Amino acid sequence: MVAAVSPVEISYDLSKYAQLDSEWKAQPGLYLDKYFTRHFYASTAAPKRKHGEIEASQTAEPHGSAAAAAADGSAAAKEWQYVLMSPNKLCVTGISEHHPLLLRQPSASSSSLAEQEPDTTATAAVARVVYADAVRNSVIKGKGKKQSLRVMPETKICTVHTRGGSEYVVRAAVRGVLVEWNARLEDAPHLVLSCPELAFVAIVKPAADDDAKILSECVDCVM
Amino acid sequence: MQTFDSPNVSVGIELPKSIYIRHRSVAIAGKKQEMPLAASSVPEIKDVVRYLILHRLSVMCGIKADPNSDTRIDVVFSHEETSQEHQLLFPDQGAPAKQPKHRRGKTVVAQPAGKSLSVVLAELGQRSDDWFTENFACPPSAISSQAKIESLSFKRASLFVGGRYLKLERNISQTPFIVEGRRMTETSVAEVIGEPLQRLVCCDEYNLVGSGREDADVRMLGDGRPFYIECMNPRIKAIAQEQIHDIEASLVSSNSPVQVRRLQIIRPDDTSIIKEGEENKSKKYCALVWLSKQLTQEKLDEINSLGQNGILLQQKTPVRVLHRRAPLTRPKKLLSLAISHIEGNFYKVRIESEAGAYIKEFVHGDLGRTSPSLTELTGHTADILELDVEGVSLDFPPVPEIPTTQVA
Repeated sequence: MVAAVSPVEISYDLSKYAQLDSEWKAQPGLYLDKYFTRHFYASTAAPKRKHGEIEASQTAEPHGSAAAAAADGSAAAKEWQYVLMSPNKLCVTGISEHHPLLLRQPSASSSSLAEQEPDTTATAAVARVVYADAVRNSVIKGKGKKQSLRVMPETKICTVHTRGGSEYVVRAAVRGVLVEWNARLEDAPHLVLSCPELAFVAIVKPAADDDAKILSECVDCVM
Repeated sequence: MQTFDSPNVSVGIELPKSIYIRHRSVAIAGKKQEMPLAASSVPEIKDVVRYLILHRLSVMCGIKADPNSDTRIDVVFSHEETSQEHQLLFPDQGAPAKQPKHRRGKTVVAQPAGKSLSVVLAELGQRSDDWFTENFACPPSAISSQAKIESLSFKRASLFVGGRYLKLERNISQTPFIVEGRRMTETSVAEVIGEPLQRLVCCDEYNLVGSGREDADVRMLGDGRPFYIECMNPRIKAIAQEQIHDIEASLVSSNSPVQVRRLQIIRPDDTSIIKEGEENKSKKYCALVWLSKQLTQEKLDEINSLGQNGILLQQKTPVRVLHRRAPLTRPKKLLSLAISHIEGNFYKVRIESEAGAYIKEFVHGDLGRTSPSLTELTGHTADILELDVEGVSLDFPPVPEIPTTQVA
């Protein structure tokens, strides 16, 4: 063990990162596993979505087989949200790559996070993200965040509107209080598709202490 | 060894409450009988008892009385026989409804039940001599038992030892890190330095306060981080600088992952420098960073030239501390940034930043909540693999006279 080294001399043993290097090169998003445990939540279809709208979206947006299954709610077309849980139990949720919105997207974001504008004329493109009034009006301040909005897993946090007229509701996924909502999405809705990493929807501080209770509405992998 | 090496002592006395009742009773009796025992000339029993105790201590241990002594003995007397006499002042009150509690730091402490001395004295002051005579014998009745000493407590002002610590290995927290009864790290900086210190000064507890702190997985290199350790209730304060220096030397020779420099006894007033430094002084870091794609030379140069002029960050409270800190966006300045290629996707990043900047979050961007971030600046996913603090720019404590360990 060497005594304090002068600045120039710090050298790193990179051999211990060899496996990490190859895994992450293939899937850069994996680095998040260092900071969070990964879970998923299936948001149920927005009650507002009328039968007629569903049909219209099916023809306008070729989701492939996913669309056909959407109506009967089978696993493949569930509106999956990711729920990343930090060791301090805070849960970050957003639209997962398994969500119908992202399923047909090529994983362009794996190597570059340059915020290129995707083709906004495509009907699948996100036109706007509208946060629920209760969320926009919520007060989040102080260490205890005592005045914050209480949420249930199914509480609607925001609605994502596509150019084609579809709506997808993103929900809280866990029971607790809202500690942050990503206002950036209102100004730059295209981030949902182009930069899923920057496009988290909300952060919730769970009411329960116990992992099983916190994640009661979530699953560990998309079925 | 439990003996205090104090040259002087002060004594605090707590007498049974009945003393004050009886004192009043004697004063009234004296007035009535026109004895030359005016209330003001009746000596305070407390002072007499205090004098007697101090005198005895002086004879037995050669210790001098000094009201400003750093050592205090609190003597509490009780007298079973007259323990309820003061209740006469509170004729209509039943048992106290609830035990009042008060909070000390995080622990909730129950107040002793019953009337406090100040309440008794206040009530006593309200009662006229006539009322008193009606309700209590003046002069007071004789007693048949002696008062006894119920408790003795010894308290000494803390000893403060300051220095700079180095953490040469990872997974060592600054102070013991215990979650749900389990230790999260094998040891801590506080324990490595505090244990030998505790053996030297025989204190009850020790508490380390650093000028800021680094995560358990981050090393503290260079000249170390300023800190002080408060040693509570030390028995020995007459410590020579050589003895303190021995602690420093033994940590070096045993290749301890935690070492100290400039270790010395400091004055209590000096401790405020530590906290001021935490907020105002800049820090230097070196990090191992992984990027999802290698940078072109142009990009590298671009970032380095940007970094030379300093970068202003807007940092939202990191997710990893958001559960216990207020949600705010804090502007933090990176005074300089330099990135160099090591090999493949690995880069070395050197940063000098304002106090309070979250470096890890600057690298990966904390899901876009720290901006700009290295992820943003490079346009590729960036993550930090290792972090070292190379310098904390607060100059404390002064270099002591005995030469400290030279860096190899």
